[in-house]
Amino acid sequence: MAHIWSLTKKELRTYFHSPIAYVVIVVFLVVSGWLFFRAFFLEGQVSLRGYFLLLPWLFLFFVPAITMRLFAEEKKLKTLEMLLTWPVRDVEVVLGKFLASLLFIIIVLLLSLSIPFSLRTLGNLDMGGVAAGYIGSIFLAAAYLSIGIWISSLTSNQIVAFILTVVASFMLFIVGEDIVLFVIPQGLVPFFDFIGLGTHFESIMRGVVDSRDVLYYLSVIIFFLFLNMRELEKRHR
Amino acid sequence: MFLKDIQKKLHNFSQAGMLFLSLLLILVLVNVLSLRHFTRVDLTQERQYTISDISKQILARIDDVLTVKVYFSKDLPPNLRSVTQYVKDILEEYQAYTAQMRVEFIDPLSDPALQEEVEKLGIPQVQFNILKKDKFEIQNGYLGLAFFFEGRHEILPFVENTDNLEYQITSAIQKVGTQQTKTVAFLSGHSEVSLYDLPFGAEEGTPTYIAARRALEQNYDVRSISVKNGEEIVDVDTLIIGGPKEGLKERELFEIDQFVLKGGNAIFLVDPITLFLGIQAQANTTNLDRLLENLGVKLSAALVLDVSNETLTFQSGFMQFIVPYPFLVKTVKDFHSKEVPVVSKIESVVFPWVAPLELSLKEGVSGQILIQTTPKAWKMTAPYNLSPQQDFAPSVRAQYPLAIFLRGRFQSLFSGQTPPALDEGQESTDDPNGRVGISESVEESSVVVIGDSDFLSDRFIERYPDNLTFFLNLVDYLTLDETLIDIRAKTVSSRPIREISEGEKTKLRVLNILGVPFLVVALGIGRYVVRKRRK
Repeated sequence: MAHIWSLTKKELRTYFHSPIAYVVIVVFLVVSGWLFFRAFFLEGQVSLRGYFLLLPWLFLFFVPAITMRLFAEEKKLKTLEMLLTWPVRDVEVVLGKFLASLLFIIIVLLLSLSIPFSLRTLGNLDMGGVAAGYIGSIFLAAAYLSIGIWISSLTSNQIVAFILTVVASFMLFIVGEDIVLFVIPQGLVPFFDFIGLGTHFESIMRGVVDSRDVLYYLSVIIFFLFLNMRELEKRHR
Repeated sequence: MFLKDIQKKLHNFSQAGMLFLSLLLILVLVNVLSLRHFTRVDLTQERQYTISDISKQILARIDDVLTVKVYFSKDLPPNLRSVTQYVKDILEEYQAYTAQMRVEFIDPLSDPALQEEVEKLGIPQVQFNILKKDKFEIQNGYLGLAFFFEGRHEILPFVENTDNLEYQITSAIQKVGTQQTKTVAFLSGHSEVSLYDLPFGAEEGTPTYIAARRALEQNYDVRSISVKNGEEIVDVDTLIIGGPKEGLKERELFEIDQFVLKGGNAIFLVDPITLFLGIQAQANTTNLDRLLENLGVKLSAALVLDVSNETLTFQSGFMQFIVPYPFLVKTVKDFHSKEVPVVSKIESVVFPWVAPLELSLKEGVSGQILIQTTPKAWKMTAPYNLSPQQDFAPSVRAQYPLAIFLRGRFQSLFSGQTPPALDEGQESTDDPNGRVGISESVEESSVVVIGDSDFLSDRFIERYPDNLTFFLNLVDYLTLDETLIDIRAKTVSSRPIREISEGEKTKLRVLNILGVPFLVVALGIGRYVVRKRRK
């Protein structure tokens, strides 16, 4: 356990040393804030719904930006081999990187809290709904992260990792959206709808935490982290 | 050896492959199992997306495809847009509990063929005021729902607010899912309150029950019946005696008596006085007091006044006065029965010119005081002075029941007697049809007595909408599955942004879009500088 934590800390520290981390945070906050406020005053309701609706799309680009370097960079700089000779288990390496990137996302989401707190001054904001929305966002982000980290471990080129992650995440997301559901044969609809990353965000975004949605996100995370571990195992042989 | 290498690789691969497949299988299995066994936690403030257990049960019983068509037009005034969103959300909640429900959103205005379909279903076109380019325009639109199941359909013609939406939707689903519709009948023939528009020339101020009838028609077969000719009351689930102003014949009392004994439910709305010429009062004689006392409620010839009351606007010469009017008794939730869900969730009901009741329970019957006055109420007997400007100086103050609920097996008012003759004055001989009256209830039934009929009239419902909710709850409680009652009275508030200036809006935007990021940048630079200095 201690290993995972020190790996996490190391990862985060490295990331925050470079200006890229700050660029990512700033760009995310500016873009999400701007897009949110555009629609907010027109809607006329004190609700963070509009913000949560943006997240699946925003994460689609920002999460790969965070994960692209996690393994790819190490492979490029040949530091991965060194890391693997340390007395740490593969699972700890993977979890360390996962937790680091998850904490990063959580920091960004914490910074976005200025929005709900500003909204509270404008009217009666449903804090329960907001809490649920943020919990859901963390799960959603974690799912994207697990995909991204795995893909990052497959290549040594960050750009390739970025593009592949965007494509993979996009596909897993779009598969459950109406656009796709309308054109596929009727029998496949329930299956595709269930697989979609966005589908399981719908209820929680409204304020309803469904155990099935939580289970789904945990399954996706476990699945891709497992794939990630297998990828590392190969390196040992 | 090369071969051994491949063997080893295959072995490792297959081992890893097995692990991979088993993990995948476990994950898939767990998710599939969770489809049936799951929990949902609603964190919203008003639990607005939580459907009650009754709704869930009804949904679980649906065994065939249920289609819900939401006929909402696109251009709606802002206050109705949140309704659209809520309807979409709550229907999704319903879908989470049954795989049989399909929801379609249709804009009837987009296609004349659709408009025809909608009109045929009975969903009316409504008019809104919509702000377009700084001008208010009248726009036509639709806000109705239709539920289709096995060839039957139910409609909710106009969803203007979300207050009782779960109840309305679940009732509609239940109604369309079962083939039985319950019947509610209003007694006629004694100048009871009319269910329809008054004919030209009717006295101004005559009450009507149009809104109540419409609301009831959504869930029941609503009829008017007469028992003047000694007709037996059949195929009626709940009978409503709404504000009769003439006396009932013995035979009519007999029919109502027998109806209740056979398991029929009854709601008596009996006024102590009749108003005429605006503010003059005349005692009302209906002969119902005997029947009611036999059932278990004593109706006094008096009016109740209370300190908790509504105001009355009246004109005297050129001046308009708004004064507290103790005859408009406004009940307080604290004095509503806590056990009966019908009233426990209603804030207040306003009864105009209401009589006090007294519970006098008979054996085999259980009774509940549904609503009563505050302990500071007082009575007025004849002659009745209804002027708002009088000096009210009550000598005795007490708490009086205003609505009583009885349930059980009743005794007939006519036990041991032959059925009364059709015409008054005639000797009651053996009934030519061979009818024999029953002397005791064959099954349990419910009776509600309220000393006022005006509270339900259109004039008063307009000002005090909770009066209608109270009455509808009552009818449902007596007639339907009584568990359905717990669904009612859930309000969803709209959360509007308070009025702020453009400047404040800009401040807010700048603070969030630029302010926080700026801090982040400053922090970053700060750390960088600190690190540089350390070196």
